[in-house]
Amino acid sequence: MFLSQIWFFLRGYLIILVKGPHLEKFLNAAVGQGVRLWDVQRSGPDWLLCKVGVQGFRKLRPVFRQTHCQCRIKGRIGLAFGLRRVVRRPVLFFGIVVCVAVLYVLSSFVWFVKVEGLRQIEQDSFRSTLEGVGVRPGVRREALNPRKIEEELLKRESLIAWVSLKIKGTVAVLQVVEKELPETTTPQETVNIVAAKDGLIEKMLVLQGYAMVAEGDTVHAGDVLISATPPTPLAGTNTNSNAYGGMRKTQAQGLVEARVWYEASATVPTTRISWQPTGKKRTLWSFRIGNLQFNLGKKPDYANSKTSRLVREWFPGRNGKSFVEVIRNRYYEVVGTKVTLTKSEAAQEAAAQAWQEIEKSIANKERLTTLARSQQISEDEQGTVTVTAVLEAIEDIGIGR
Amino acid sequence: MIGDRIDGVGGAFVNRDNNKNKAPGWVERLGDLLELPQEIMLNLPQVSLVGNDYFRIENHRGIIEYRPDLIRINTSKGEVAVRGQKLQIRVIITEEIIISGKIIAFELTDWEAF
Repeated sequence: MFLSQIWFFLRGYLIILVKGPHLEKFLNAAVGQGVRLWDVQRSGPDWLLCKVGVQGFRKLRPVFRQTHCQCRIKGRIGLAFGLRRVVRRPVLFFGIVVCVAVLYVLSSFVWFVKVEGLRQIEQDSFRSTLEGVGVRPGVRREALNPRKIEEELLKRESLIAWVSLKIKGTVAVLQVVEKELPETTTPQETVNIVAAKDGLIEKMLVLQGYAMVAEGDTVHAGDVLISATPPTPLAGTNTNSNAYGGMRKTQAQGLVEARVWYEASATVPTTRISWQPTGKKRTLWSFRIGNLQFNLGKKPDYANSKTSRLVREWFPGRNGKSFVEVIRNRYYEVVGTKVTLTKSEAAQEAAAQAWQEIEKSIANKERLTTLARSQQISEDEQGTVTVTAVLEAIEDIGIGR
Repeated sequence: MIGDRIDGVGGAFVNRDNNKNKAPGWVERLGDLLELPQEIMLNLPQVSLVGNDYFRIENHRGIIEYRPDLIRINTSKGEVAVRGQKLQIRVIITEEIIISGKIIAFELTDWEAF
């Protein structure tokens, strides 16, 4: 059935309306002529709709006359009629052909380039790289060889780990996977590891570079411990058999632990004056307008005094000092009394100050392991006590420079 | 009642069949002997019904009556009437007629005994 329908569509068929008193007679007569009728619909008492092939319709003419039926053509369907229309309207046909041809030609070009997966690489710079390898809007699809372009891109863009080029219609889709680079600490110059301070080398671990000192050596601040550049061979030695032959510059890396000493001393007098407020005070107000200052009242005539100062800005500006300031100065009278310390008290205080100073001078406590602490107390004729504190420790003294 | 109209309306081929009333002759016997299908040997009608919406008859002799609820077809042995609703002739050619629609019954009237 389906095949025959295709056949009749190609040949062309008609939908006809047949009107007459004896439609059964018409059907039998048509069949008798060898005409194929299909989709016969009896739509009313004296008329029916049916389909008939173009060839068959010619044979029906005498049948209509014979059976006294009238026929009206309701529709012409099929390729044959379409072709006839085309022949009748050549410009339309030409337009269709041109349209299809233009579509075909246009679809053979790449019109869009889509890049996915860029993170570190700039879109613009990658696009210019793409243009370098020939991937750009307007290029013919056949001219692109995805495998070759992928290889070329990998060569040109060092940050790409993998790239795929697929051409989907008129869109060239590039999927890029970038390399995961380790965090780069690439200083412009080579880095040596030098001693941050004086010390006695206890332990050395060279990760990269060339050791310039050995365990047991005494080093001073600024000495190179691990060198980034290979040491120059001694004069007269054969460079080819040199132990460092062929070695290259590198970034020095390593751990250098040394025995170091921190020293600090503090002096505390056994007698001194302690200032105590008497309870008397006076408040003095001043105004400052621009550069002019007006004082209200007089300064008190205390022998010794402490002062507190409070400045309030009026109309503060957006930047710098305000134009008007109110200043409150408070004067407290104090009186000095002589305090005498025992030697052990003074020594204790001096020791505390000395150790505090040492603590302050240690840059990084985590890199340091304390070995020993010692202190020395001395006094002189003026009644001052001096404490010298020494801290002995193991410390990583290497710093990159 | 239905048979009355055979010659009146659609009997285009009816009178051309001259073997209709004869007893089994040598053709039938030859066919039996060679085990050939009867519909080919004797031009007998063959009917097939697929579901209730596809009725096909081969070796017909024309349409007697065609209405949306009844289609009567003439054959060499008698008349076949198909009853149903919205009946439609899908294809009609010399050898066969295919009817579609909601088929309720078909009956054979005025068939001679074998």
